[in-house]
Amino acid sequence: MNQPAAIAALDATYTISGATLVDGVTLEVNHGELVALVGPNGAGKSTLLSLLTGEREPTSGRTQLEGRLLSEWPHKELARRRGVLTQDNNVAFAFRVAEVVEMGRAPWQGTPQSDEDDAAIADAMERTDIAHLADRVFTSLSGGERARASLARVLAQQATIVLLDEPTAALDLRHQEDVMRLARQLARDGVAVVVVVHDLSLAAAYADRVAVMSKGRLVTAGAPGEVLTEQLVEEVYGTPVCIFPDPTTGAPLIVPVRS
Amino acid sequence: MGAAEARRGRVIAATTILAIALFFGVILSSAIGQFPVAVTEVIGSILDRIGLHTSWAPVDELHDQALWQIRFPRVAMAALVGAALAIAGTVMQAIFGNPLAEPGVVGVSSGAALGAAFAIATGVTLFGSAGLAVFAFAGGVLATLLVYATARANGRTEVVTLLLTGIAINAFAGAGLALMTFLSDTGSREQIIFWQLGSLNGSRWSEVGMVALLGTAGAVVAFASARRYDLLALGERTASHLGVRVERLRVVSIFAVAILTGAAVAYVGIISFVGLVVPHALRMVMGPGHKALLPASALGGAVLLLFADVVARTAVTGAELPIGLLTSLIGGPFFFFLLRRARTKQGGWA
Repeated sequence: MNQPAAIAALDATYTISGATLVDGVTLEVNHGELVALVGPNGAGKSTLLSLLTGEREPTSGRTQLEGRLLSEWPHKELARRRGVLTQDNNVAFAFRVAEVVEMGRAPWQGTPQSDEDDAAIADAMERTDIAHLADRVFTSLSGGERARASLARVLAQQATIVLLDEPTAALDLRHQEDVMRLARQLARDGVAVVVVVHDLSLAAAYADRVAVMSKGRLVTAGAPGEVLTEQLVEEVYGTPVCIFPDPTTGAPLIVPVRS
Repeated sequence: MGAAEARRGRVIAATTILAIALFFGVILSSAIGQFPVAVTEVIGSILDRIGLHTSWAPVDELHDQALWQIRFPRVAMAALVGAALAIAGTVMQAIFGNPLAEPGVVGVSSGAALGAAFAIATGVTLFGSAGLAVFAFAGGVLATLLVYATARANGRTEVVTLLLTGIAINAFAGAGLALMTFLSDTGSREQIIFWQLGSLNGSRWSEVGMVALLGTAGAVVAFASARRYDLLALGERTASHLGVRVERLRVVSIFAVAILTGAAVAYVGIISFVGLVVPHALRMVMGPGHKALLPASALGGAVLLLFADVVARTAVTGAELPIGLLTSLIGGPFFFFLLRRARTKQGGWA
C-alpha cells in the first residue's frame, strides 16, 4: 500500500518558550481508520492535534495531509478536507443551532457541493441527535447539547479527515457511546478519524488503534488489546489499574485498582 | 423550519420599516428648521433637480437655496455618519465577538478625535479639506490597533480588558485633546471644543462627498466579509478550521472600522453609542447573521442620527443641542442596561 497516510506527523516536535510539548512524534492515520489519542493531562495530546490541524507548525519534523506538507495546502482546500472539533465550543451572539451547523458548510460555498448543504445539515443533526434543537439559540443549550451541536457542525463539513478534541468530555453515558459510535461509522465510511479521549475503556472499545502519549512523546500505538497493558497504563498514568476483557465484546476494560 | 422563516420575515420587516423611516426622516429633517419649508416643497425641489418639474417645486428661490445649500448636505451628512458609525460598531462587535465593543466605548472615536484635533490645532493642511479626515483616520487606526493588541488573549476577547483598554485610551486621548485645546489659538480652540460635542451644523457638500467616499469603502469591506464574521462567532480557531484567514480578516476589518469612524468623526465630531445601540437592538429583532445585520445596521444608524438631529435642532427654541450629547444621552443608559444584562447572563465578570 503506497498511498500516503490521510494525515501524518513525522518526527514532529513542538517547542514553545523552552518547553517541549510534543517530542519527536510519528503518527500516521489512514482513511477508514479510527485512532484514539490517550494520555494523562498535559501529555501533549491537544498540542499534537493542533499540529495535525495545521494550526501550529512543528518546530522540527513534518506534518502532512495526503502526502503533502500541511503548510503547503491552501487554507480553503484544507477546510474542505479536514474538520476539527475543539474543546472550546462557545458561540458569540445568539445564533440558532441550525445556523451553527450550517456554518460547517462554509468551505463549500461557491462550489457545486453547496447544493448538498441542506441534506448535509439535516443528516448531521440527525446523527448527533439534535434535530429537535434546531431552532434553539446555541448559547441556551446545556453543555452536552452544545458538544453535540458542535459535532454536528463538524459532520456537516463532510471532511475526509476528522480531528476531535475530547468530543465526549461533557457528555452523559449514552451520548458518549453515541459519539464514539458515530466516529466509528465515519471511519467505516472511509474517513480518517483522530479522537482525543480520556476514558481508556471507551477508546479501547471503538478505536482501531490507540496512541498513548506521555510527556510529549508517543509511548506506543497499536491495537487496543495489544497496547493497553496493565503495566503500560500504570507507568503512563502513575496509578495501578486492572484490565479485563469486556464480557460481551472482549475489548479491554480498564479500571483503576481501588483499595 | 418555522423559526428560520419567522426570522427571515422579521429581517424583511425590519429592513423595510427602516427604509421607510429613512425616507420620512430625510423629508422631515429637510422640512424642519429655523425657517420651515413645506414637505411638498422638499419633495418638489428634489424632483425638480432630477428633471421632474412639478407644481410642488418651491416658488421661493430662497427656499430652494436653503434646501440645497444648508438642509440637504446636513441631512445627507447625518444619514451617512449614522450609517458609517453603525457599520463600524457592527464590524467591531463581530471581530471582538462581543456586543460591548463599539468605536466610542473602546476609544477609537476619541483616537480619531485626537488626530483631527491635532490637524485643527497645528493647522496642517493635507490634500485640502481631506487633511482632517486623514488625521482622524490615522488616530482611529492607532487606537484600534492598541485595543486589538491589548484586549485579546488566547483568541478571545476578555470583556474586562476590553473596557479597561477603552478607559485608558479615552483618558489618554482626552488628555491629548485638552493639550491641543490648550495650545491652540482662540479660533481653533472653539473649533475643537464644538467638534468634541459633535454637530452636523454647517455640513458642506464637499465634506459629504468625502464621507460618502470613505464610508462606501469601509462598507464594501464590511459587507464582503459578512459571512466570515458569522464564522468568527465560533471562535477564531474554529473559524480558521473552516477556511477563514482570521488574522487577515481582522486587520482588514480594523482598517475598515478606522476608515468608517475616522470619516464620521472628522467632520461632525464625536458621536458615541450609535455603533453600540443600533446593531444590538437589531440583533435582538432579526438575529445575529451579519449578511442581514450589516445593511440593516447601516439603515438603522442613518435613521437614528437623522431623527436625533431633528430633535437636536428643535428641542430648544433658538438654539441647537450638540448631537453627540443626545446620542450619549440615549446610549449611556443603554450601555448600562447591556452591562447589567451581560453580567446576569454570565454570572459576573471572569
